[in-house]
Amino acid sequence: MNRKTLRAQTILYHNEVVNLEKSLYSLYKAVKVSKEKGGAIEFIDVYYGDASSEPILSSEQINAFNEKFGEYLKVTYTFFGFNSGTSKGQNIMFKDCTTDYFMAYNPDVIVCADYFIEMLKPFERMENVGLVEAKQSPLEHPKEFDVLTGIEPWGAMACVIIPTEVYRELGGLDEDNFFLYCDDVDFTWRVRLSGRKVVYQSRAFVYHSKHVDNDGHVVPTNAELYYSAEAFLFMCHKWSNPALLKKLIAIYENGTVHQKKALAEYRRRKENNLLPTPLDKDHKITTFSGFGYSKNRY
Amino acid sequence: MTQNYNPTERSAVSDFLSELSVKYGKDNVDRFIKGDFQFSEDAPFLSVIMRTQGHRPEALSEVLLCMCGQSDMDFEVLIMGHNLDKEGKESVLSIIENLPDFMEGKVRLVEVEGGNRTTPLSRGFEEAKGRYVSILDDDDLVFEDWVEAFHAIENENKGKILHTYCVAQDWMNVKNKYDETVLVSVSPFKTIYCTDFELIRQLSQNYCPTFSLAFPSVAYKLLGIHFDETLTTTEDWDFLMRTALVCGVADNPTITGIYRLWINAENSATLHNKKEWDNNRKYIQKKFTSDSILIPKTDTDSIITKSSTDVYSSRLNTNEFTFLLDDGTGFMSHPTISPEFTGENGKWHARVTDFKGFDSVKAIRIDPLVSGTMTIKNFSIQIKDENGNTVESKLNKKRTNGAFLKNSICFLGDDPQIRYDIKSPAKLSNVTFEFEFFYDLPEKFFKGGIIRYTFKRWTAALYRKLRGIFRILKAKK
Repeated sequence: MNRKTLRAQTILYHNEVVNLEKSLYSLYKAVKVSKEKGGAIEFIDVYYGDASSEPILSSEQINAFNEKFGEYLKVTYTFFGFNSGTSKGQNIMFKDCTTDYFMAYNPDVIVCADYFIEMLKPFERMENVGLVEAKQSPLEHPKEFDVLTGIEPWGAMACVIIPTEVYRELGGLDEDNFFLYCDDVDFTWRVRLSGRKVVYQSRAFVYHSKHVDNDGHVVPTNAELYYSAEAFLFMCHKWSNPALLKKLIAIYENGTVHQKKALAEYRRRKENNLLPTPLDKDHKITTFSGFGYSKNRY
Repeated sequence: MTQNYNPTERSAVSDFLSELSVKYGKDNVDRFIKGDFQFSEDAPFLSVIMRTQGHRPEALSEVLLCMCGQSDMDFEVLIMGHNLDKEGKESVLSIIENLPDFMEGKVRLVEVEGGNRTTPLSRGFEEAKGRYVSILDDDDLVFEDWVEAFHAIENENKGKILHTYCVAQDWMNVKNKYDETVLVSVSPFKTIYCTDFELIRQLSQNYCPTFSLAFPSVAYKLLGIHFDETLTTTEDWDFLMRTALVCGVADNPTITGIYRLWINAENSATLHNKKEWDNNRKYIQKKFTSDSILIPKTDTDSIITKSSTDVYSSRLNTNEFTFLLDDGTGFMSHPTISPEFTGENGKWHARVTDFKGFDSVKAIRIDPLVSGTMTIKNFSIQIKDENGNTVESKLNKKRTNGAFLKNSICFLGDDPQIRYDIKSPAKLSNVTFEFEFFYDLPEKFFKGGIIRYTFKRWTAALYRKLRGIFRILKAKK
């Protein structure tokens, strides 16, 4: 098999070093397994962009990582000195990326041994694949997908692989409108708008920590509550759904503190002509369903 | 001179200790009470026993990845390879070898030949080094705080079984276009196992998946409370209860994992017939009646409540009966409503008159119990709007998750639900319903291939739905 190069890139924000190390251990093993099984990935570059208020890794720790894992990966660390959010952070780091593939992931995910082998299969089996999403475990995302092919309406970017040329061609994540959430829905809809497929690879699973409350619901953080509320407004505007936008505004006007704050930000941008140009006016790409971005399996 | 007379010889507490001594040996009971048992210096907190036959490598890899993600790494994993063939053994060894290096020394394969499904569990308990032991099947999933949640309550509850909450979720095992196995979740979480351990309730049925429990290994090793290898089903319930009756149970109300219910795959519910289940249940329950039982104070209140009502004496536990309304925002968006019940001998009449907060009801859902293996017969419902007019409604057979057999609805799985859709959403004033209730399933249910039909229907429905979406997406392009 032809060897391919890959950069795995992630944004740090006050993470625990022990979890970063666990993740590196898993990437190391996945590259090793790929090489041993004749897969396309034999070595990867890991790029950390740190958006924390203080550096969470020292140069000694980076050296120690490179000594420990150097056979199969190389860690590069950049401290931003400001809170970039995920989208801006990813774009900053991506600028000098020259590898064949680009992997965006959450810094604490632990990948399975066959991760690289399974993740690259859709690129080999299908034409025009723009992004492959790994399955998150133990909480699998409920959005609908085609069981036979894995093709899905949008992809969650907790752990994805993208051909570098695709990320560059599409201008990366929309850092102007999505600080933390829904940058992935927006990006994957743009992938589809460019005529490419978004594929869910449920055989490449990654451990992604989540908590559920005693009613069995995922517990959102305050940041998630605010930024997801804000992003929903921008998504409705950017992806040409004025009817849903109107409904959302009516709800947010009498909604939670986060929703009211999000609405104020939306109105500020509208007044200052800072909202993005609407896309997909014919609704060929978007899959809004109720108050979600697609139908769910349940 | 004093009389040779023991004034407490046959008191309840003496009887209880005496029964324990007869059963487990006096020296062992004395040592157990004193805590006279030593663990090796390197003994972890938890030993995790994982049975596998090597047939589900995808699921095994996934649950081991969950172990990699644990916030508390004070554990060992014993993979009990039961009757592994060459291919299965190679597959399991490869999965272990390919775990991240920080798991090195934590996971080992123990091969077990012969016996039944309990044999690897017994061997696992013998091999376990940990102070506590939990059974995590090779198709379960756990959150990062699974070990931590047990560990957090160990110090306050040494010697007790440690119990956490978990959720259940329906999953399907399907093949993709390339003939590869794909595991897909197909239902939201069901919170039927999110409840404290109630000893009395547990005497009727098991509400605790094995991985929600951590057993003190001393009960197995010192008292010799072992698995009953003559049982072909519910051996875990039998083992749990025999241990719980001696050790007691402590709860940590944290949801720590997902109990996967495979709706299109073979499982113990489909592999054994009704008679076998009944016989095993009776056999296990007979054991409960052969000894005295210490009732925890937490159970006393519910016993008093239940024994004071006709409801309990005629078996339907109305505390578990749930009545839900959907006003368009979903069934779970509002608190549940408690109907007023009258009835006995299996025939029930229920009424709801309080609909505060619901201006327009689109659908009604009735969850008769949290667990399955029950039949509702001759169900009828009358729904009236605020003007007293009868509201037209229809039983939604797709969303009612039982199998229909003449005038009965048979529920095999947990979380039974009956759903009625209202033709024109309305503000309601009165809902009455009648039914007969049985903790049983008719023999015809098992003989008539209804289980297979139900699973087939699920599979076909999901496939059609996914195919439809695929076609829409394709058309859009």
